[in-house]
Amino acid sequence: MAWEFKDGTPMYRQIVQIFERKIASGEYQPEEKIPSVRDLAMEAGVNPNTMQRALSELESEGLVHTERTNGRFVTSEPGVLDELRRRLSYTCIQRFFRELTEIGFTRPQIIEAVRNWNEREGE
Amino acid sequence: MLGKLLKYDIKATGRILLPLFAALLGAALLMGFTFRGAMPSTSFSFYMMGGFDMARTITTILYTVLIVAVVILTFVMIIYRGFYQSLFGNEGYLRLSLPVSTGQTLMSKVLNAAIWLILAAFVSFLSFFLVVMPAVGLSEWARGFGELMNEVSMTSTSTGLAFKVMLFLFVAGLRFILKVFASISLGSAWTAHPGVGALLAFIGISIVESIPSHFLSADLSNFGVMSAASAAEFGRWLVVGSLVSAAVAAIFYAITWYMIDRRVSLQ
Amino acid sequence: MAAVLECRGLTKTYRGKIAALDHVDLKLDAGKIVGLLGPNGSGKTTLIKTAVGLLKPSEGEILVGGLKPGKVTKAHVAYLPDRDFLPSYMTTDQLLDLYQDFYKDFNRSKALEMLQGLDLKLNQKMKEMSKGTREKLQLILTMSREAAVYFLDEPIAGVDPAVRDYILRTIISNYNEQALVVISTHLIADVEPILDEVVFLKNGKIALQQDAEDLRAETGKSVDHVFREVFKC
Repeated sequence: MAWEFKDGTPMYRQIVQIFERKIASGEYQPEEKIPSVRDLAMEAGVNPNTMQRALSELESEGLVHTERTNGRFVTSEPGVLDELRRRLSYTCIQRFFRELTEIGFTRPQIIEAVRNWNEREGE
Repeated sequence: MLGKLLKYDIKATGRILLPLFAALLGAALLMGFTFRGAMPSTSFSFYMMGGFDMARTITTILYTVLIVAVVILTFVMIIYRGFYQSLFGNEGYLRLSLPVSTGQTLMSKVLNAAIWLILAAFVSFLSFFLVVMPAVGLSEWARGFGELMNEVSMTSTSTGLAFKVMLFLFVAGLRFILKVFASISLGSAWTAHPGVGALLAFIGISIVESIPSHFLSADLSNFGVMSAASAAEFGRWLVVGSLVSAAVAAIFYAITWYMIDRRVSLQ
Repeated sequence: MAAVLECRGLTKTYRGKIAALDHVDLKLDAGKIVGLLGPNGSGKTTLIKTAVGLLKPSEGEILVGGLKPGKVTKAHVAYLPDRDFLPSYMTTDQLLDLYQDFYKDFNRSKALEMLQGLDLKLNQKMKEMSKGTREKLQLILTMSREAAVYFLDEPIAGVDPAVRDYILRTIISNYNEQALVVISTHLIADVEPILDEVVFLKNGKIALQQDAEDLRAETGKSVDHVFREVFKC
């Protein structure tokens, strides 16, 4: 099944985001080899050029590096993964805060609500 | 490329014709066997004698039906399967996007028509003789067949006539087929009613064909009255007629080529 | 890089009717998958048929690889029409033979490889196959040609979603950087992800030609969305 895409963001950006998630979550392990552009394009159901663009972007973000003859690998550089997780979490939190302020919560109220939720839901 | 095109045209046309030819030959043999019992002697001259019994009647009817079918269906298949269906149906999308010239495509169809006409004629003649074979036996039949082959050859002037007649009929047949090809391709220009267009084109061409007969002694479309006094003159008339027919057929070919090359509009 | 497909003032009129193509100017480069998008009757099929050589222009010209459509261009153009176009009494094997007979650039082993995934026997006749299998077979035969230009006219219309997926994946996996792939369709949403460039055709005229990602970035919408706006009734 092809990947799902939505309106609003360029496709290659959405692909980059999907990869960021996969790398952050560990689905793609450090130093794991990434399939070829064509295979990825087939899996995602997108144009190979689009996939290529996404991979170049990942490369410039430092999440992926190319070894000339061997192919593309996920980075294993120490701080990079932590930085990625931090960035993704910030985006998530930002969205979360925005949503709740839209329905009338203040910042302190949000933090309080999170605490309550955490206690109730347990570990 | 032409050879390959021809291969496919022959296959498409032959799908119904080959079994039909086989059936005709089979029916001929069958018919021949039913006459076997009534032969007083083994020569050709007594062949047509004998009383009528059920088997003879049935096989004769069967044979007649089949031979009529062969004549009609040969023309129909050459025109429908060998031309119309492959160029004007959905298959046209395939045929007309192949890397061949219009000339090659069309020539293949003309050769296909020629081959099947000759084959049909051969099978028909063969069937006539197969009717006789069971009654007279194989060696007598072979001898008679050999005699006939001599009759047909060009060596003897009075009987080169048979060959000239066959040539004339062959060219006339091709000319008719090309006339239908031209009519179909002209009719396709009327996108709303190509069938009616083809019919009108055919009628129009027929009218044009008959015009010269008012000015010349030879009629392009009909046999005409046989004013020839001798066999030799008739022979000459046949050859001239064949040449005229061939020329007219070439005109039909040109019309068809033009329509397909310039104006083809598939719907 | 020279354009592989070029139209200059291309016009096609049918007797007494409106122009199916109205002075179209278009240039498409190799190495791209281009979507020729428009509603039914907008001229997509007419444009493709003219490029393939099945129709002759009324005015203007169309060039494939710099040449007018003819015997030479047809040898390098792979065409998948929007209907069943192969003799239905032929078997898969016979069809492979046919393609091999007429097209030097036909890769039989590639076709056989692609056919492996399908549930069909080589000696099965086309008319005995289901519609979905027939469509896949026709696509495989077309994509097994190593052509310079591929014209796919409505390749995913009239088939179920699973077959659609298969068809789109097959197109992507056969993508040749040297080739131009032109896909005409009115089912934009399904095809959108695989397109490099989109061309909108409206009433025989080009309404828009742009890189797909640029269009999405500019408008913040999917191509499908933009299409609906441009072609609002």
